[in-house]
Amino acid sequence: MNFFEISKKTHIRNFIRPPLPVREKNYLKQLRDDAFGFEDKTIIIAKAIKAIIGAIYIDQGQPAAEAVAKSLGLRFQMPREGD
Amino acid sequence: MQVSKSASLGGPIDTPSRVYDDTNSIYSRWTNVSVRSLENKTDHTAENEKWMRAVTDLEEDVQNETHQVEAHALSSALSSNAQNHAQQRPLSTASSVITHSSSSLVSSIIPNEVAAYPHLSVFSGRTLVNNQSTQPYLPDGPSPRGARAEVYYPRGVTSSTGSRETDDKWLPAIQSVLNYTFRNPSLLEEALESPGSGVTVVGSESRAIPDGNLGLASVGKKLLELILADQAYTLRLTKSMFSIPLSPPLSFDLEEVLKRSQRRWSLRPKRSFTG
Repeated sequence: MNFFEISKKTHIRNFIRPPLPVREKNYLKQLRDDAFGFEDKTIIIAKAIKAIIGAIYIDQGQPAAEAVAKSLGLRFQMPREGD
Repeated sequence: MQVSKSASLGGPIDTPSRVYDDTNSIYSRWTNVSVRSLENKTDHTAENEKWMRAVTDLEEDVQNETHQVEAHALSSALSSNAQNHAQQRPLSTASSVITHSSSSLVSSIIPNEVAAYPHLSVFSGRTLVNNQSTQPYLPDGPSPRGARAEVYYPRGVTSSTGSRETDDKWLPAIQSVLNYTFRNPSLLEEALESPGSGVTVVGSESRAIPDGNLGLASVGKKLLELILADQAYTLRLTKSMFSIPLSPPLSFDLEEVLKRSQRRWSLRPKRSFTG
């Protein structure tokens, strides 16, 4: 599971504030950005989720951050016994 | 035969031939851009008007009081066997009395204003002078930054964003998702502000975040790497098993990791031994 899927599953992406658009000096680039939405949102989402983990680490330390990372599926998951 | 210019163009000149429709443009989201002043949203024009009104009232009162005090001081000086002293220094005596009386007058009329605006100083007992051209910093008053407004997007990276709920209910929603309660919610607010979003101050303590969540993201990335390395050591995973880049696509499913490592091993070209 990647960061984008995590944000989609937990609806965290609805609460991330995106950056303002940068007006390109090159008009062709500007047209391309307007037409196709060239900005990559997966990078924004990945940074925000890493930042949430970092915020929890600064807030209450490493055990809390590890627990949240585990709940989000950001750790190696051992196979269950029945599987 | 002369043909007028407007007739040759086939219609009035002011009629727009094309209407630029930018509804599909990303800049159409500027219409949804919300403007908010930062914390301490005080109307400084009203504040200034109130303050200037107080100053003018004080000036009038002090001038009225000045005439009364001058007359009283001169009469008392003349009557109390200090005629020589009053003739030598009548103005200084009067001004000292006036200064004292005017300061007491100021504190009696608007004590709160005097306490809140230390630059309201009394010069020579006659006029109140605003010795600062701009609004000063007040510890309990408005912010020193003034009434700035910043432009930024509403929350949400996806296309269907900008609802009022996401702007208001971000803290309880994310805390319920993470099953974690923040002691300092401004850290979460900082984590949700991507760099270049236009928001440079978060929290009730007005903490500055010029780079958005870049600092917290670097901390979180290193922490995730530490967690994975720790787990890999405890599980005795070799480096080839978890040498998957942390940037997307991520995959932490152990079975998938093992499959990938086996596949990689099987795809390794066999050595050809001769002889």
